Amino acid sequence: MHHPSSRQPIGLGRVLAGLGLALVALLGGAFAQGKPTTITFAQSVAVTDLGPAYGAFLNYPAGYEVGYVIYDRLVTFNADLKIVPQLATSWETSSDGLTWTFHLRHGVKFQDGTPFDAQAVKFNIERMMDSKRNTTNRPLWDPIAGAKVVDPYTVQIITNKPYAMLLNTLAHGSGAMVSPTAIEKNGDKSMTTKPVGTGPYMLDSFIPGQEVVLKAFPDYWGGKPPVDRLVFKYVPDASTRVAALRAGQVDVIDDIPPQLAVTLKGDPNISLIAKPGLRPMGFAINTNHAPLDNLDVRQALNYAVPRDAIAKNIFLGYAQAADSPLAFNTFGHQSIGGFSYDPAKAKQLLAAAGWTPGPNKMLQKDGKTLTLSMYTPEGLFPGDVDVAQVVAKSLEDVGIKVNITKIDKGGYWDYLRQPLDQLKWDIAMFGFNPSNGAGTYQMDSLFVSNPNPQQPPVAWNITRFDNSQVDSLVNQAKVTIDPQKRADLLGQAEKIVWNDAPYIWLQVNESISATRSNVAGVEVWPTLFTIVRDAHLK
Amino acid sequence: MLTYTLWRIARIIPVALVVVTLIFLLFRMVPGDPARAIAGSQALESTVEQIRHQLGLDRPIYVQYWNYLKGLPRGNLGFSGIYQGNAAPVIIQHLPPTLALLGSSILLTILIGVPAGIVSALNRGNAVDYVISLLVVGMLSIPNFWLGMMLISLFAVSYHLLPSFGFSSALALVLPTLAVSARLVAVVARMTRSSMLEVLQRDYVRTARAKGLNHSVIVYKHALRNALIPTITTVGLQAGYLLGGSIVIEQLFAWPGIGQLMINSVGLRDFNMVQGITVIFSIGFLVINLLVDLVYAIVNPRIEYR
Amino acid sequence: MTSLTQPNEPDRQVVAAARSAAWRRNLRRMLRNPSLVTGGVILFVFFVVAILANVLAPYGGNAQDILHVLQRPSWAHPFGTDSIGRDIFSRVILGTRYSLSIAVLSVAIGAVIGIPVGLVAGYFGGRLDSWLMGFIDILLTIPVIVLAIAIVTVIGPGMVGLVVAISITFAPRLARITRGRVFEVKEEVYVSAAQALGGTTRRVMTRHVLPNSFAPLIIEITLRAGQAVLVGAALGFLGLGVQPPTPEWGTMLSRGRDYLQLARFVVIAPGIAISLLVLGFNLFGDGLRDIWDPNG
Repeated sequence: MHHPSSRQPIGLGRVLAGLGLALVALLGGAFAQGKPTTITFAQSVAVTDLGPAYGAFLNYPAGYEVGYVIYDRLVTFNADLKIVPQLATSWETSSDGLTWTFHLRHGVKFQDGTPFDAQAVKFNIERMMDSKRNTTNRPLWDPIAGAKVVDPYTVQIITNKPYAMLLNTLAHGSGAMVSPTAIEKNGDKSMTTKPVGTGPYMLDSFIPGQEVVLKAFPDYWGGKPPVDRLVFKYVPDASTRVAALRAGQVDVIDDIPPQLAVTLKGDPNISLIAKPGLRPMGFAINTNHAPLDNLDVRQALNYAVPRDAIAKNIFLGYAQAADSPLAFNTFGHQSIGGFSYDPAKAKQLLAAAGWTPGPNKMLQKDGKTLTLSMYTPEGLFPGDVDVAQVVAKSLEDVGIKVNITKIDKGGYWDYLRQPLDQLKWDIAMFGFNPSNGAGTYQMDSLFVSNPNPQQPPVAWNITRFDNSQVDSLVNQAKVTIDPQKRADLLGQAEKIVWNDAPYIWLQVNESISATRSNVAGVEVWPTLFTIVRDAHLK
Repeated sequence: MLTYTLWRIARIIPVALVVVTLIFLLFRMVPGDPARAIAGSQALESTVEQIRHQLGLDRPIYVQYWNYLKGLPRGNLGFSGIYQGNAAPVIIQHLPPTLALLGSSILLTILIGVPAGIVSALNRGNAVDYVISLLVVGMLSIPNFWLGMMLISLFAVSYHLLPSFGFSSALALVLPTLAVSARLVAVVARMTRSSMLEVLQRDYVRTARAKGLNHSVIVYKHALRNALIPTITTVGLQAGYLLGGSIVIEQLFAWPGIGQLMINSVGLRDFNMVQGITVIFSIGFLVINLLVDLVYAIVNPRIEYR
Repeated sequence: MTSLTQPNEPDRQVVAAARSAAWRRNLRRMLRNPSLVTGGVILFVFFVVAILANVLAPYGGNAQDILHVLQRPSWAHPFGTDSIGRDIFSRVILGTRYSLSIAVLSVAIGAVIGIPVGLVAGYFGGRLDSWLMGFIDILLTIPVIVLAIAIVTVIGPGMVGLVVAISITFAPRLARITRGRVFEVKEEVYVSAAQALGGTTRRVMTRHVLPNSFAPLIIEITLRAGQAVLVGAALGFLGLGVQPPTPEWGTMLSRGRDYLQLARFVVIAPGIAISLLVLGFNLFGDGLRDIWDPNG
């Protein structure tokens, strides 16, 4: 900048200019250094609770997505839903399958500075076993009997019966390891607003229902986290999320409906990530309510619906017609299929059940028209209202009158889980996402019979499906450690369930998220989670 | 004047009381169990009971009512099941974006609506008046959310000119303001036009003309000031529309104001929050009316107030 | 205009002739007012479409063709097809019924409730008036949309909730206007004359006061009908309102939001329909105001 060899005295103007440039460079550098690298994720569901217990993680999947960043678990999933080590580096099972020994990672600290050890694991396991504190996900935790500290870095988990899915439970969001010290200091429910885990990012600020800001945890056992800040924002509207991503105001978005995804395809600034999901959609059938207690009628419903066309056309190619009660890459899935689109066959089956066309072409029996009450949410499941209308029309085409009731997404779960005599629906749209990736979890939650059918279901068997063979197959699968044998048992159960048609089977949607092209390391798990734990700027 | 002001302020209290009572009763009539809805479908009975207790729903209705009234002067607008605390701070946090939107809408209305009305009045009967009147009636007929969608489609989607999401910058105010104020601009233009027309025929204007004063002076000094009075009243009267219209527009633009808070709370079944926001809207409306009346009383000293 | 004594035959004929001449003059005045005529034509067209909707719509309101979703406008489908392959043109035509009925019903019910209240308050004045107006002012404090959302949340989705919500928000306004007009009319000579002649309160109100208050009321009702269309559409847009697959315009706009980029045509037709209908009501009301109440 200065030229001492120059003959001319260095002009004041030049000096000032030089100083000015230097100042700008300094400030610029400082500014660039001072400005934290931030990745912002606009989520479709609001986060209202950051703790793993007390019925938390209800707002699926948003709470889980933040939880996977703040907390670590003994084991975790990778992008293909395989189990990989996290806080436990290795493990063995005893020969009777009842005791699992985990060897823990050394040198791990909680975000409040306290050390992570076997005692902490025992604390967490016992906490989540307690049905008063862990009010949801019971099927995942009930089989666990207790935990034992062997030495500071070795812990044993004991189960009542051989529990094949233990690792899936430990990798689940509820398997998060929280700091016992923080619980003792701040109270049992403090994790809701003051989470303390061992993950790469810790809490900076939290506005429930609006925004979570995380900052890098400098003592993270895995080294320096990739960015300085992670921000999670609640943006309920899909168009808005897409607009924000386009404008560069956010870096990651989730839950993109197909009609918006296709418009993002050609954009060089945006990377689309689409992964087939684990949630088969369908209409749960109230199997207790005549005439739906008749197998012919239920099967007729399945023949009447153009499942393939719906998957291809309504979802613009981002879905596939289901061929089993489980999704394609759920563990234990077996292709069964059948129930092709055949309205003639549907009418045949209905006629066999005594329903014949009346004067106005609608089906009648003993003078009563066949009328079904259909419940659908709005904005809860992909394409819900559209699919509901298509299915209703298909049923009307074979002579069944359908009345649609649309419920806003906040109140929908309530309508699904009523006692039997208060059930207002004949068919209700529903899809279950086994958030631990296991087919046993799904079959268990949806198709194992309710101990008391009159009461709301203990898990999600809202159809009141009851088949003793399925019960024994699934219960056996739960205690079968060998994966092949387990898959076999599940396959048999799936076949029985599929053909018994407690659902109008529909489609499996792809889970579509997107990032700016300069963001890498974002994973989309088949369980509908968009994981930003390893996200970094290129 | 002072007594009038005090009298008007004092009158707000019984009115507010009745409004609050009405709203309270209205939201107690909602079907379904809000405690269960907030607790979630898989919660244990004990959790539902807990939330019910938090929301105060396990007490008889008159006790709930009394507690609610007691809490109001202390700034407690009800226990929000979602935010797990007093609804008031949450609402206050969401106020600035809405106030910014309303403020810029009123500003735009005055900047465009008033001149449009004046121009229209001065050109009565000819093409300019006709065109403006046509635009006015058009803007009164277009649904504001559709206008918003078209604006987004044109300026944000097709041509990436303006932001359409959230309160990211001052520029983000442009599209939502246009959507909210279109109707108000039309109403104000029309009102300004007719009051200008009326004033231009008044005796004192004729007298001023007869005295030979410059035409523009007459218009801008005398007529305008008097024509603005009904305009102020109109803006006040339309405040209700503004508040309501902002709800729908906030939803469309993901604007983080109390309108969006309200819609989200309805969806999340947080009725105490919805109730609190309705109370705020109504009190706000009452205050705006009061301000309008006071300004009116100041500007037009010929008013008789009892 | 009302005669105060019993006229004899020749006088009656004179009066009758004068009246029909006045009618013809009024009609000519009306026809010369562009707002009134344009608005009237628009409304007429919409009413006809609503009545003949089933005939005019080429496809049913719910005729789906899921192999042809989101088709651009073409001869077969002038407004295109929606996300499940339904003809938008047919749905817009059928939607006329819903928007018109919501508007007409809400305003009618609002009038049935509000006008008598306003009449009573205005005629009797005094304490009754203060109380009624106080209550009405309080109802008017809550913004229309907010009150409508609250009511629909309580009553539940469907046409009933919509109509109730909108009527409840309009009745107070109509009451206010009625009352104001009654105050003016009360001072008129013929009212005190009718009272002096011994007419009962009800008679005076219905025979003399009410007919002379019609003009501003009808204007207001017409303009409110337009607003009812907008509020109904807004509620439909927010998802509160009719159940699928009802072809209501506001709901169609709400479901079309995500398609602004992919298939903008989905939201253009319903939006224009709403605007035109409201325009019709506005123009007609303005025209009426020009004729009947130019200083109002």
